[in-house]
This record gives sequence, structure tokens and C-alpha cells, in this order.
Amino acid sequence: MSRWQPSYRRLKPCIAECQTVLAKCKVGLYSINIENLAMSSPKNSSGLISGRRLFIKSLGLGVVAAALPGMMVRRAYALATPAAGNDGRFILIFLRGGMDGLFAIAPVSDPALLSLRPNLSRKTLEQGISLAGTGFSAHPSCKDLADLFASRELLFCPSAGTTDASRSHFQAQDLFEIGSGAAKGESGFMARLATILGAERPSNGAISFTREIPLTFQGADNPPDVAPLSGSGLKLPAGKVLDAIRKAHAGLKTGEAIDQAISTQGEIDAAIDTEGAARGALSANGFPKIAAHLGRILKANSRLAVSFVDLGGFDTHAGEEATLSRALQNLSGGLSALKESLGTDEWVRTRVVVMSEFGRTVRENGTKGTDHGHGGLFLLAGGSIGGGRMAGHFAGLSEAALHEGRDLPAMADWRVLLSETISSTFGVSDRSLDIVFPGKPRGKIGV
Amino acid sequence: MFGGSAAAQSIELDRPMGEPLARAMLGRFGYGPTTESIANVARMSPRAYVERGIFEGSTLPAVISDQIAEMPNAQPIELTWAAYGLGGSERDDLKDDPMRRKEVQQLERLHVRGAIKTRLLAMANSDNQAHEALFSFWLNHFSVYAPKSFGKILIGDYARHIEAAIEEDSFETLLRASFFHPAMQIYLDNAQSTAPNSRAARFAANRGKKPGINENLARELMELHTLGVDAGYTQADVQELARVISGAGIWRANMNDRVLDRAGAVRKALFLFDPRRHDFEAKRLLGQNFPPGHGLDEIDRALHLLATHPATARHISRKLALRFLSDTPSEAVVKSMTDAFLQSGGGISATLDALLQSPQFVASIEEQAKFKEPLDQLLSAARAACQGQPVGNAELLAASAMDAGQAPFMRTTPDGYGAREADWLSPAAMAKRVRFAMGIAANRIPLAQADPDNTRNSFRLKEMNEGKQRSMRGSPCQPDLRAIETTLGPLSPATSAAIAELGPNEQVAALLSSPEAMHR
Repeated sequence: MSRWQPSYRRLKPCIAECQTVLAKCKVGLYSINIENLAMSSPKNSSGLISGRRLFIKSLGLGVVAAALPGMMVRRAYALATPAAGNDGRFILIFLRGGMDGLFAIAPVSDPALLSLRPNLSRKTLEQGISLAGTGFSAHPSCKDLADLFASRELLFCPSAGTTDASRSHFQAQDLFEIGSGAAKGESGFMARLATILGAERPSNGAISFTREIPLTFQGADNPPDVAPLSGSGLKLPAGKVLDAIRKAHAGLKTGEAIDQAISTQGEIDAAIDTEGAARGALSANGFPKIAAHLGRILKANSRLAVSFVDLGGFDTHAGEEATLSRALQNLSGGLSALKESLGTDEWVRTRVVVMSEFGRTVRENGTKGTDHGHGGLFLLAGGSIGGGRMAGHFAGLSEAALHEGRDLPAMADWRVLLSETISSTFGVSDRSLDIVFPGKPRGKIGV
Repeated sequence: MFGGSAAAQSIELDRPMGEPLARAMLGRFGYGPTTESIANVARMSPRAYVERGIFEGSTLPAVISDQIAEMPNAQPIELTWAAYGLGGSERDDLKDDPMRRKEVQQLERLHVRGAIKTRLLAMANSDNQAHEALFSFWLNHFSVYAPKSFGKILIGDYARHIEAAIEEDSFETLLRASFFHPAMQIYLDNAQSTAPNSRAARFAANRGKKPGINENLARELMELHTLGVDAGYTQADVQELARVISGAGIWRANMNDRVLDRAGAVRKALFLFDPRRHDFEAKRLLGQNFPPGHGLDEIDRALHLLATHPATARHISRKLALRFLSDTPSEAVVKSMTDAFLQSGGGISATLDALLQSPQFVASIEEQAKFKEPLDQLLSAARAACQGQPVGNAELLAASAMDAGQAPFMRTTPDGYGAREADWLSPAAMAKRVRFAMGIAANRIPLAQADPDNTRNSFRLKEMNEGKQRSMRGSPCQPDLRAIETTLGPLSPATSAAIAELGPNEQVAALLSSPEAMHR
């Protein structure tokens, strides 16, 4: 096989997985109408995508659909389309490293807090900002979060998480991003969500504000836009050299990436045009500056319904007070900056979820930090979310309430929290949500 | 094509490899071919090529080694540590002296920058490309984020220790070189761990403090450095290993050696095992009893247990295969590598021989199956453009590596950079690669030499991309179309057709951005 036809290598594992799943469901491979699946897939606006790729991606979705008991694969796609109506916007901010939720928002009314966290709870106990009616207070570095809470634009769920049992960052992040309950898989939940939204309305797009495509966006029918918010960017000089390079890469993933660089740069330019020079850049550095830029891009491109951004630096084994205070100030300031740059109209239709791969140990460790734990903090922000409250249950910090005697339990499953958020943002049907999050538990949390 | 006959199952390990395989090997185990290196390597056998990478170091052009020798990180670490390390003479009262604090911070930045530039210069200019590829692999496997704490001044020495361990051809030696270096102890927070039942903890308790242990290094030691996440170890194993390695840490420059001797502390260069922080009670790790009363010797025992564990053999084999074979290595090749690892007692050359001998290796070479990681691509483009002329603009290389997201020693998380296409292929990555190729073709990229008046000691990539005059001072290499064609090898029909109408300079840009130039 020659190197310029690399597609089959990628296809093989996909087919193998498909066959396995189908065998389990006692459906022969021949009974899938591949043509129909490909036809009902959304058209790619660039027109450069070959039928071959649609075939692969549709088959990928077919795998998920086939896993649903008693459902004909051919019908799955139709069922996967969302109900018409809600025209929202969903942003996921993923905190990598395992954010210590009990540091950010602490149960100050719990009698065990101080003895479990003699150093790491002190500042919040002394100067924390009370989140009225919840028994929790925000760390002073999270002042912006507390303000959003007070204006009912933020709610939190303190004991949320995944089914991860490894306490490995990398395993837990993969598990979170895939969203099926497994740490390995062909596609991530954001990819499946984008595919379903794109099937309803081809203009519906997704964007990842990262340098590379994160796992959660891999395997989408149409890959998301990828706009890194730092670095030298996507600009490419047009002309016959670029045309020749695109020709040489035609039909390859590399070529798709070059074409996307060109189209996404257009969206970024649009944001700069609408902004004009007068309002100027926000003076803030770090995430607030990035979040403001991100907000402007979204505002200028209303088709970008789903977006993702990740932040690192939350792995605080030692000297947590200083490190995490800075990181949380950055995060909180970023949410405010995002709200401001989106403007009221956009903010009202926006839902922002903030989550990490796991929480950390309830007890602080011997080096004024915390080690890898289990349950952690879920935040939801937006202009019309009915915030100013706590969602889900909190069992307290007594020994009996802890997971394996050391961590918060994951009382609220991340797939349920995200499903409810996605459902209220886009009006996506329950059937579709089962495709986005296969195997998610039943039940409601009420976010 | 490479095995001598059409039905060949694997390459001939001990026969001269010839030009096509030499070209491929320089891309697979190295940062890309030049016409001269293809000719040299073609006379070597595949086994000899890889073994030279293990048992010999690199020779660099004098102009490059002179540049490296002038960097602050080239100084012996003992001198730097005595002045700027923990407890160092120049660290006294820094808090109260903002001017001096700024100077020290500036020096620390130069150390980090110097370590990054040292690596990139060696990778771009080495005559022993397999050595640089393997060296980078182990630095990335035992990844340390340099800017954290004293990592800034330790990172150059850490790299030298890892490099020295490579020629022992033993995984356990590499593991020990990493573990017993203060850079790793600091990066994964173990230097601060203090067993709650230790003398140091009792002493601290009298002063109202309550030090203890953290699990960071213990967990990553098993998950990333040795066993792998699916090996079946438990949370209890993590906690037990954290107790075993308590007391391992760093030597402070102002420590009194007589006091240390009396306490029974053991110092290896800047690494210190301090029994006053160690947990001497009984432990149970991976099903084995660790009896009470043991100190540094039980750390040795635990590292040996981990280094020789079958799960480690598999984890390391798979990781080598991901970098040097395929994003989807077959079960068969991982199995034969794992067997070779175990039979050779963790020998790297034996493990890589199994990789080279596998049928999948021939196929992966013919398909150019690996998407180049950013540094593979950046450096292979630079080497193709310069064709043996030294690539001496370290500031440019460092700025480009940072921008591409793969600068040495700058991975924040301990997992190291990924090796798969999915880790790197993105619109931004392709835009950067195409811009770089276009810049080389237009003689806009001063690869050979930095602007001699550059006092900032940094390089502004943005200005270069925008074609601003100031950033373009310095000397480019004059790229030669024919030489670039030779380094790329046969082109696909699609690439040939796409570039047919272009002029020679334009062809340089298109070829350096072609699918052939993006894979190895």
C-alpha cells in the first residue's frame, strides 16, 4: 500500500469495532444501509471532503447507534436529530490536572472542614464569600464566581464526577472526554454532539480553542474548527504555491487541516472586524484576555454552537494555596470577561460548564497540597440558567460520607449533568443524548 | 523494496541498508536526512545504525559545540548549585533585594533557554541522528518541566545524566538516572515528602507543624515511568510506594556534611537520601513484603522491582513502538519486543532489534506510516534546507519549537509529549509548517546564524512571519531544490502533478510542505 492512500489503515480498526458491536447486537453487517447513512449525513460546506470520509464517520456513528438495544441502525440517524426550537450555545471549559473543588467552594458549615484541611480551608473560613443558602463559601480568589452566583448566573454541584477508578490524570481525562464510561473509544462526546447538531442544521458548527483537536472532539462527522488562542496562528499567504500545496494534500487529513486553517482564520478576522478598534483589547492577561477574545469570535460567528477550551495547572500536590489561588482567579476572571465580551443577548442564550477530570483528596496531604481524588466541582454559568443555588446532593465530610475513606463521592454523574445542560441549551431529545453519552445513568439532578 | 526480495518479511538486520532504507531510518530514528547523511548511513546495517545511537554520543560541528559550551547550563552543576541552588550563597536575603532577585531570575531563564537551545542544536546538527532520537525519547519518557522551582538550573544536568545512562543499554539504569536526580525529585514534589512517623516530622510537631507525604512521584513512577496505568496496581500500592520513597530528595547547598553523616544520610551528587524523613516501618508493595528497618536499600529494591516487572516491559515496548513504528503497533510486535526486553534484562538494543525485525516495520517504512511530530518536521525541514551547513540559529529553533508546542523540557504534565498523529495534526500545526517552508524557500528564515546584534537573546517569530526586516537579519541557508528532492525520495503522483507548474523556489516551498515531508 502506498503512503498517499493512508485511509484504509484508519478505517480498519473502525470496521473491526463495528463488527464486534454488531455481532453482539446480532445484526449482520450487511443489514446496514451504508449509502443511506452517508446520504443523511450533513453536507460539508467546503465541498472538499470525499465520500470516503463521510463513510467512515457515519460508520462511527453507526457503531454507537448499533449499541442501542433493539434499534435499527438505519433509523438511528433520524432519531438522533434534535427537536427544533432552542437556539442556544454551549461552552465547555475543561480544567486539566484535577481541580480541588473543596478549595474553590468550601462547605464552611461542615464541622469537619477545618480539621481535614487546616491550611487549605483557613482563608475561606476567614475571608470566604458566602454563597447564600448553600452552606458553602467561595475562596476569595473566586470573587467573580461569587458575584455571578449572587446575580443567579452561576450554580454549582459540589460532589460531581466520573466513573474513573484509576486516579490517573490521563485515564480520567480520556474517560471524561469520551463520555461513554470507557477510557478508550473511537469518538468523544463533543464530537457526537456536534454531529447530531450538524445533522439538524448543517450550518451548526463547533470550535475548539486549543492547539490540537482534543480527544472529546475526535471522530466528528465534520471536524470542529480549531482556533488556538496563543501562538503564531492560522494565517497562510494565498497564491499559487498554497494552491499547489492544497492540491498535493487533497483528500488527506493534512489537506483537510490546511483548508480548515484558511476557513477558521476567516472567522477570526470577522471577529476583529466587528469589534473595531475603539473598544480596544482588555488589559487583563492570561485566561481573562483569552476568554474575551474567544467571546468576540463566538459573537461574530453565531453558527458556532458548541465550543471547547481547556486550562491546565490544577495539579496541586504541594503549596496549593498560592498556585490554585492564581489559577482560580484566572478562571473566575475569564468567566467574567467571557460574559462581557459576549454581551447580554449572547450571554442569555449561553451555557458554560466548568469541570475537571477528578477532584482531590478531602484531607490535605503532608506538603500543603492535595492528592488525586474522585468527586469534584461542577459549575454552570450563563445569563438564563436560574443560578444562585446548589444542585445535586452533598453528603458532608464525615468519614462515612467519603469515597474510599479519602475522596468526595461522585454523587452526580458528569454525563447526566452535561446531558441536562445540553438538553436545555439545544432541546436535544433523550434518544440523542443516549448517543452522545451511551450508558449514562437515568435520573435527574436539576441543573 | 528494503528487504531484498518482494516477499521479504523483514529487513536484513546486519546488511548495509542502502539509500532508500537509510533515508527512511534517518527520518524514523533521527531528525531527517541530508544527502551526505544518506550516503554515510547507507553503508551501515540497521542494527549498527541503532546501536551507534545507544553506545556512542554525537559529534557536532565546532561552531555549534562552541555555541553550546558558552551557555550557562554548560557549567558544572556543582558550581551553579553552590551559588544559586537551594541554600546557595547567592540566595541569601533575595526577598529583600529586588535588583538581585531580578538578576537571579534572569539567570534562571537563561539556564532554561540554554537547555532548550542545547538540545535543539544537537538534534539539528548531530552526525549521530539515532542517538539524538533515542536521547529525546528518554528525556520525554522521564519528562521534567524545567521552569518549576529549581528545575530551572537543574535541567541541563538532568539531561546530561539521562544521556550518560543511555549507553548502559539498560532500562533500569535510565530509571535510576531519572529517579536519583534532584530535577525529578523536585518536579514531582517528592523532595518535600516527609513520613509522619519520621524524626523530621516529630521535630516539626514540636514547632506546631505537621508535615507528611504526598503521592505525586509514587503514582507517576508506576503509571508513567514503569508499569503503565492498566498494570493492575492499586491505590494502596501508590500509598505504599510513597512511603518507600520518603526521604528521597535534594541536597541543600548549605547543609552541614558532618550533621548529615551523623544522621546516616546518603548523598549522590545533589540527590540526598535523608533517613530523618523516611518511613522505616513495614510496607507491602505489589504483593511483596518490605520488612521494617530499611532505608535507601528499599528504594533500590522497589526501583528494581518496577524496572524488571513484566508490565513495565510491555509498557516500555509499546511506547517505543508508538514513537518508532506506528500509531497502532500490532499485538505481535509489542509481544516480541516485550519478550526481548525481559530476556535481555531491560536491554534497549535488544528491544529495538525486535522492532526492526518485525514485518510491520517494513510495511510502516514503505507507507511512511508516522505523521511527524512538530520537532521532527521543524528539524527535518531545517536539515533539508541546510544540507550539512550548520543550523546555528538556536533562538529561531527555540522560538519555533515553543510556537509548535513541543519545546524540550516545556511539557507541563509528566506524561511527556504524545507521539501519535492525533496528538499533533491540527489546522494550526499545518499552517505553521507551510509558513516555515515558504519562509525557507524565500530565504526569509535565518537558519544558519542569528543576527549578531541580537542582544535580546530571543527571536520574534511573528516579525519573521510578517516579513519584517529586523527579524530577518542573520544568515539563511540557501536551499537547493535537487538536494531537497534527494532527501524526500520518490514523490507521489499527486505531489508531482501539484508542483509541476511551479518555479524552482516555489517548488522548494511546496516540497517542504508536501505530504512526503509531513510523514516519516
